[in-house]
Amino acid sequence: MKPLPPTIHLIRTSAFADNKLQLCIDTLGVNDELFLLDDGTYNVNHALLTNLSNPVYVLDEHLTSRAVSAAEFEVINYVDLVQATVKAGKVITWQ
Amino acid sequence: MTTFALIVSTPPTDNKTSTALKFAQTLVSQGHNITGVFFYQDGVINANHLVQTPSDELNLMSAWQGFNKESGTPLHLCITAAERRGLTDSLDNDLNPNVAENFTISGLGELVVLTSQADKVVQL
Amino acid sequence: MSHRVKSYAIINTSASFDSLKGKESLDAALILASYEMPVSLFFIGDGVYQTINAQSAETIQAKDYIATFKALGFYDIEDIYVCNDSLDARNIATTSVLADAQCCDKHLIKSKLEHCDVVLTF
Repeated sequence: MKPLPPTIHLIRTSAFADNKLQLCIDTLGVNDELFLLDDGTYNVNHALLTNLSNPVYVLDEHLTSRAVSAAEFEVINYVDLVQATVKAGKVITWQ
Repeated sequence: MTTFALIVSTPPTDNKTSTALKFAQTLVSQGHNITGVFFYQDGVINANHLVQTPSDELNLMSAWQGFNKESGTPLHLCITAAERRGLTDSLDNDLNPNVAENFTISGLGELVVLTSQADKVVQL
Repeated sequence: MSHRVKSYAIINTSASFDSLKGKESLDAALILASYEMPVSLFFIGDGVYQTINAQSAETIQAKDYIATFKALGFYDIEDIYVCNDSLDARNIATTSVLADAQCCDKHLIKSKLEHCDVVLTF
Protein backbone atom coordinates (compact mmCIF):
# COMPACT_ATOMS: atom_id res chain seq x y z
CA MET A 1 0.00 0.00 0.00
CA LYS A 2 1.24 3.45 -0.90
CA PRO A 3 2.25 5.45 2.20
CA LEU A 4 -0.16 8.23 3.05
CA PRO A 5 1.12 11.77 2.46
CA PRO A 6 2.00 13.45 5.78
CA THR A 7 -0.57 15.39 7.70
CA ILE A 8 0.45 18.84 8.81
CA HIS A 9 -0.63 20.01 12.22
CA LEU A 10 -1.09 23.70 12.99
CA ILE A 11 -0.51 24.57 16.65
CA ARG A 12 -1.79 28.02 17.55
CA THR A 13 -1.77 28.06 21.34
CA SER A 14 0.85 27.80 24.06
CA ALA A 15 1.23 24.41 25.73
CA PHE A 16 1.95 26.37 28.91
CA ALA A 17 -1.75 27.34 28.76
CA ASP A 18 -3.60 24.33 27.31
CA ASN A 19 -3.12 20.73 26.17
CA LYS A 20 -3.62 21.12 22.40
CA LEU A 21 0.03 20.37 21.66
CA GLN A 22 -0.17 17.23 23.82
CA LEU A 23 -3.37 16.07 22.07
CA CYS A 24 -1.70 16.68 18.73
CA ILE A 25 1.41 14.71 19.68
CA ASP A 26 -0.80 11.83 20.86
CA THR A 27 -2.17 11.40 17.33
CA LEU A 28 0.97 12.29 15.38
CA GLY A 29 2.02 9.97 12.54
CA VAL A 30 5.74 9.29 12.00
CA ASN A 31 5.90 11.45 8.88
CA ASP A 32 3.64 14.22 10.14
CA GLU A 33 4.90 17.77 10.49
CA LEU A 34 4.20 20.44 13.09
CA PHE A 35 3.77 24.12 12.31
CA LEU A 36 3.82 26.59 15.17
CA LEU A 37 1.81 29.77 14.61
CA ASP A 38 0.42 32.57 16.77
CA ASP A 39 0.89 31.80 20.51
CA GLY A 40 1.89 28.30 19.38
CA THR A 41 5.33 29.77 18.71
CA TYR A 42 5.93 29.88 22.50
CA ASN A 43 6.11 26.06 22.33
CA VAL A 44 9.67 26.27 20.97
CA ASN A 45 10.69 26.34 24.63
CA HIS A 46 8.25 23.68 25.83
CA ALA A 47 9.53 20.32 27.06
CA LEU A 48 6.99 18.47 24.87
CA LEU A 49 9.06 19.34 21.79
CA THR A 50 12.42 18.41 23.26
CA ASN A 51 12.44 14.79 22.16
CA LEU A 52 10.01 14.93 19.29
CA SER A 53 11.45 13.38 16.13
CA ASN A 54 8.91 14.94 13.73
CA PRO A 55 9.86 18.07 11.77
CA VAL A 56 8.81 21.31 13.48
CA TYR A 57 8.52 24.63 11.63
CA VAL A 58 7.87 28.04 13.16
CA LEU A 59 6.36 31.09 11.46
CA ASP A 60 8.93 33.86 11.35
CA GLU A 61 6.76 36.90 12.00
CA HIS A 62 4.95 35.28 14.91
CA LEU A 63 8.29 34.52 16.57
CA THR A 64 9.72 37.96 15.90
CA SER A 65 6.63 39.79 17.15
CA ARG A 66 6.83 37.86 20.43
CA ALA A 67 10.62 38.25 20.82
CA VAL A 68 10.99 34.47 20.86
CA SER A 69 14.01 32.83 19.28
CA ALA A 70 13.97 29.30 17.91
CA ALA A 71 17.52 28.28 17.14
CA GLU A 72 16.67 24.58 17.02
CA PHE A 73 13.75 24.82 14.63
CA GLU A 74 13.34 25.78 11.01
CA VAL A 75 11.85 29.25 10.66
CA ILE A 76 9.49 29.75 7.71
CA ASN A 77 7.28 32.41 6.13
CA TYR A 78 3.69 32.35 4.82
CA VAL A 79 4.77 31.21 1.35
CA ASP A 80 6.54 28.21 2.90
CA LEU A 81 3.43 27.45 4.94
CA VAL A 82 1.23 27.57 1.84
CA GLN A 83 3.61 25.27 -0.04
CA ALA A 84 3.57 22.82 2.87
CA THR A 85 -0.24 22.73 2.91
CA VAL A 86 -0.27 22.12 -0.85
CA LYS A 87 2.01 19.09 -0.43
CA ALA A 88 0.31 17.74 2.69
CA GLY A 89 -2.32 15.04 2.65
CA LYS A 90 -4.42 17.15 4.99
CA VAL A 91 -4.16 19.90 7.55
CA ILE A 92 -5.34 19.61 11.15
CA THR A 93 -5.64 22.82 13.14
CA TRP A 94 -5.65 22.26 16.87
CA GLN A 95 -7.90 25.21 17.67
CA MET B 1 -2.84 25.12 -8.67
CA THR B 2 -4.55 23.70 -5.64
CA THR B 3 -8.10 24.49 -4.59
CA PHE B 4 -8.62 25.32 -0.92
CA ALA B 5 -11.59 25.88 1.35
CA LEU B 6 -10.95 27.97 4.46
CA ILE B 7 -12.90 27.97 7.71
CA VAL B 8 -12.41 30.98 9.97
CA SER B 9 -13.49 30.48 13.59
CA THR B 10 -11.91 33.43 15.39
CA PRO B 11 -13.38 36.93 15.96
CA PRO B 12 -11.85 40.22 14.78
CA THR B 13 -10.67 40.86 18.34
CA ASP B 14 -8.28 37.92 18.05
CA ASN B 15 -4.95 38.35 16.24
CA LYS B 16 -5.32 34.76 14.98
CA THR B 17 -7.85 36.17 12.52
CA SER B 18 -5.12 38.29 10.98
CA THR B 19 -3.15 35.06 10.52
CA ALA B 20 -6.11 33.54 8.69
CA LEU B 21 -6.36 36.57 6.39
CA LYS B 22 -2.64 36.51 5.59
CA PHE B 23 -2.80 32.81 4.87
CA ALA B 24 -5.72 33.41 2.49
CA GLN B 25 -3.90 36.30 0.78
CA THR B 26 -0.77 34.20 0.37
CA LEU B 27 -2.75 31.33 -1.15
CA VAL B 28 -4.12 33.68 -3.80
CA SER B 29 -0.78 35.40 -4.44
CA GLN B 30 0.79 31.98 -4.98
CA GLY B 31 -1.76 31.20 -7.68
CA HIS B 32 -4.06 28.94 -5.70
CA ASN B 33 -7.83 29.06 -5.72
CA ILE B 34 -10.16 29.32 -2.72
CA THR B 35 -13.71 27.97 -3.15
CA GLY B 36 -14.72 30.23 -0.29
CA VAL B 37 -14.00 31.40 3.21
CA PHE B 38 -16.61 30.04 5.60
CA PHE B 39 -17.00 32.06 8.79
CA TYR B 40 -18.19 29.87 11.64
CA GLN B 41 -18.32 30.08 15.45
CA ASP B 42 -16.94 33.45 16.62
CA GLY B 43 -15.57 33.99 13.10
CA VAL B 44 -18.97 35.37 12.04
CA ILE B 45 -18.30 38.54 14.06
CA ASN B 46 -15.85 39.56 11.32
CA ALA B 47 -18.91 40.48 9.25
CA ASN B 48 -20.53 42.81 11.78
CA HIS B 49 -20.29 46.32 10.35
CA LEU B 50 -21.16 47.79 13.75
CA VAL B 51 -17.82 46.65 15.14
CA GLN B 52 -15.74 49.78 15.69
CA THR B 53 -12.03 49.23 15.19
CA PRO B 54 -9.72 52.02 16.43
CA SER B 55 -8.31 53.85 13.43
CA ASP B 56 -4.72 52.88 14.21
CA GLU B 57 -5.53 49.15 14.26
CA LEU B 58 -6.13 46.66 11.46
CA ASN B 59 -9.82 46.67 10.55
CA LEU B 60 -10.37 43.02 9.72
CA MET B 61 -13.86 43.51 8.32
CA SER B 62 -12.52 46.01 5.75
CA ALA B 63 -9.54 43.75 5.11
CA TRP B 64 -11.79 40.75 4.37
CA GLN B 65 -13.93 42.96 2.13
CA GLY B 66 -10.81 44.07 0.27
CA PHE B 67 -9.73 40.46 -0.06
CA ASN B 68 -13.12 39.58 -1.54
CA LYS B 69 -12.97 42.46 -4.03
CA GLU B 70 -9.42 41.75 -5.13
CA SER B 71 -9.58 37.97 -5.34
CA GLY B 72 -13.26 37.32 -5.95
CA THR B 73 -13.19 34.77 -3.12
CA PRO B 74 -16.69 34.38 -1.64
CA LEU B 75 -17.06 35.12 2.09
CA HIS B 76 -19.82 32.98 3.61
CA LEU B 77 -21.39 33.40 7.04
CA CYS B 78 -23.15 30.65 8.93
CA ILE B 79 -26.48 32.33 9.67
CA THR B 80 -27.23 30.26 12.79
CA ALA B 81 -23.85 31.08 14.32
CA ALA B 82 -24.25 34.71 13.21
CA GLU B 83 -27.75 35.31 14.62
CA ARG B 84 -26.81 34.11 18.08
CA ARG B 85 -23.90 36.59 17.97
CA GLY B 86 -26.03 39.60 17.07
CA LEU B 87 -25.84 39.60 13.29
CA THR B 88 -28.88 39.83 11.08
CA ASP B 89 -29.86 40.54 7.51
CA SER B 90 -33.54 40.72 8.42
CA LEU B 91 -35.70 43.82 8.09
CA ASP B 92 -38.44 42.28 10.22
CA ASN B 93 -39.41 43.36 13.70
CA ASP B 94 -37.37 46.56 13.59
CA LEU B 95 -34.12 44.64 13.30
CA ASN B 96 -31.30 46.62 11.77
CA PRO B 97 -29.35 44.58 9.23
CA ASN B 98 -25.69 44.71 10.18
CA VAL B 99 -23.99 42.19 7.93
CA ALA B 100 -21.26 44.02 6.03
CA GLU B 101 -21.23 44.17 2.25
CA ASN B 102 -19.27 41.46 0.44
CA PHE B 103 -20.27 38.83 3.01
CA THR B 104 -22.88 36.28 1.96
CA ILE B 105 -25.39 34.87 4.41
CA SER B 106 -25.30 31.10 4.15
CA GLY B 107 -25.94 28.03 6.21
CA LEU B 108 -23.80 25.12 7.26
CA GLY B 109 -24.76 23.44 3.99
CA GLU B 110 -22.39 25.88 2.31
CA LEU B 111 -19.59 24.48 4.48
CA VAL B 112 -20.28 21.07 2.98
CA VAL B 113 -20.32 22.47 -0.56
CA LEU B 114 -17.13 24.54 -0.18
CA THR B 115 -15.15 21.78 1.49
CA SER B 116 -16.32 19.01 -0.83
CA GLN B 117 -15.22 21.04 -3.87
CA ALA B 118 -11.76 21.74 -2.47
CA ASP B 119 -8.55 19.70 -2.63
CA LYS B 120 -7.53 20.96 0.83
CA VAL B 121 -9.48 22.28 3.77
CA VAL B 122 -7.79 24.56 6.29
CA GLN B 123 -9.52 25.63 9.49
CA LEU B 124 -8.05 28.78 11.02
CA MET C 1 -10.33 19.63 -8.15
CA SER C 2 -11.38 16.35 -6.60
CA HIS C 3 -15.07 15.54 -6.66
CA ARG C 4 -15.05 12.16 -4.99
CA VAL C 5 -16.91 12.04 -1.71
CA LYS C 6 -14.65 13.09 1.13
CA SER C 7 -14.67 11.52 4.55
CA TYR C 8 -14.78 13.92 7.47
CA ALA C 9 -13.49 13.61 11.02
CA ILE C 10 -14.61 15.95 13.74
CA ILE C 11 -12.40 16.07 16.83
CA ASN C 12 -13.94 17.41 20.00
CA THR C 13 -11.49 18.61 22.62
CA SER C 14 -13.76 20.90 24.65
CA ALA C 15 -15.98 20.10 27.62
CA SER C 16 -19.76 20.29 27.34
CA PHE C 17 -21.16 23.61 28.41
CA ASP C 18 -18.82 26.53 29.05
CA SER C 19 -18.45 27.29 25.35
CA LEU C 20 -20.60 26.67 22.29
CA LYS C 21 -17.94 24.46 20.73
CA GLY C 22 -19.67 21.15 21.46
CA LYS C 23 -23.00 22.41 20.13
CA GLU C 24 -21.53 24.01 17.00
CA SER C 25 -19.43 20.92 16.37
CA LEU C 26 -22.50 18.71 16.54
CA ASP C 27 -24.42 21.06 14.20
CA ALA C 28 -21.61 20.74 11.65
CA ALA C 29 -21.54 16.94 12.00
CA LEU C 30 -25.30 16.64 11.48
CA ILE C 31 -25.26 18.84 8.37
CA LEU C 32 -22.36 16.88 6.87
CA ALA C 33 -24.22 13.65 7.55
CA SER C 34 -27.45 15.04 6.05
CA TYR C 35 -25.48 15.69 2.83
CA GLU C 36 -24.48 12.00 3.01
CA MET C 37 -20.85 12.72 3.75
CA PRO C 38 -19.16 10.02 5.84
CA VAL C 39 -18.50 11.56 9.26
CA SER C 40 -16.57 10.14 12.20
CA LEU C 41 -16.63 11.78 15.61
CA PHE C 42 -13.70 11.76 18.01
CA PHE C 43 -13.77 12.82 21.65
CA ILE C 44 -10.35 13.39 23.17
CA GLY C 45 -8.95 15.44 26.05
CA ASP C 46 -11.73 17.40 27.78
CA GLY C 47 -13.95 16.46 24.82
CA VAL C 48 -14.65 13.14 26.57
CA TYR C 49 -16.74 15.04 29.12
CA GLN C 50 -19.33 15.59 26.36
CA THR C 51 -19.98 11.86 26.17
CA ILE C 52 -20.98 11.29 29.81
CA ASN C 53 -24.57 9.97 29.97
CA ALA C 54 -25.70 11.40 33.29
CA GLN C 55 -25.18 15.09 32.42
CA SER C 56 -28.14 17.43 32.97
CA ALA C 57 -27.80 20.57 30.91
CA GLU C 58 -31.13 21.90 32.17
CA THR C 59 -29.73 22.27 35.71
CA ILE C 60 -27.65 25.18 34.47
CA GLN C 61 -30.09 26.39 31.77
CA ALA C 62 -27.77 25.11 29.04
CA LYS C 63 -28.94 23.66 25.74
CA ASP C 64 -29.17 19.88 25.99
CA TYR C 65 -27.46 19.09 22.69
CA ILE C 66 -25.97 16.03 24.42
CA ALA C 67 -29.37 14.31 24.10
CA THR C 68 -28.89 14.34 20.31
CA PHE C 69 -25.86 12.04 20.66
CA LYS C 70 -28.27 9.16 21.23
CA ALA C 71 -29.82 9.87 17.82
CA LEU C 72 -26.57 9.97 15.83
CA GLY C 73 -27.39 6.53 14.39
CA PHE C 74 -30.44 8.03 12.65
CA TYR C 75 -28.07 10.39 10.85
CA ASP C 76 -25.85 7.44 9.87
CA ILE C 77 -23.09 8.68 12.16
CA GLU C 78 -21.87 5.39 13.57
CA ASP C 79 -18.13 5.90 13.89
CA ILE C 80 -17.85 7.55 17.29
CA TYR C 81 -14.60 7.18 19.18
CA VAL C 82 -13.84 8.19 22.74
CA CYS C 83 -10.24 8.21 23.94
CA ASN C 84 -9.65 5.72 26.75
CA ASP C 85 -6.48 7.47 27.83
CA SER C 86 -8.41 10.73 28.28
CA LEU C 87 -11.19 8.90 30.19
CA ASP C 88 -8.66 7.23 32.50
CA ALA C 89 -6.86 10.49 33.19
CA ARG C 90 -10.20 12.02 34.25
CA ASN C 91 -11.35 9.05 36.33
CA ILE C 92 -14.34 8.37 34.06
CA ALA C 93 -15.53 4.78 33.66
CA THR C 94 -16.16 3.58 30.11
CA THR C 95 -19.58 2.41 31.35
CA SER C 96 -20.64 6.03 32.00
CA VAL C 97 -20.22 7.20 28.42
CA LEU C 98 -22.46 7.13 25.37
CA ALA C 99 -23.26 3.49 24.59
CA ASP C 100 -23.00 3.99 20.81
CA ALA C 101 -19.44 5.19 21.15
CA GLN C 102 -16.38 3.00 20.95
CA CYS C 103 -13.84 3.58 23.70
CA CYS C 104 -10.39 3.06 22.26
CA ASP C 105 -6.78 4.00 22.84
CA LYS C 106 -5.01 6.90 21.17
CA HIS C 107 -3.23 4.60 18.72
CA LEU C 108 -6.52 3.47 17.21
CA ILE C 109 -7.70 7.09 17.10
CA LYS C 110 -4.51 8.01 15.29
CA SER C 111 -5.00 5.31 12.65
CA LYS C 112 -8.69 6.20 12.16
CA LEU C 113 -7.75 9.87 11.64
CA GLU C 114 -5.14 8.92 9.05
CA HIS C 115 -7.87 7.63 6.77
CA CYS C 116 -10.14 10.69 6.91
CA ASP C 117 -9.81 13.33 4.17
CA VAL C 118 -10.87 16.38 6.18
CA VAL C 119 -10.33 16.84 9.90
CA LEU C 120 -12.00 19.64 11.83
CA THR C 121 -11.42 20.39 15.51
CA PHE C 122 -13.75 22.01 18.02
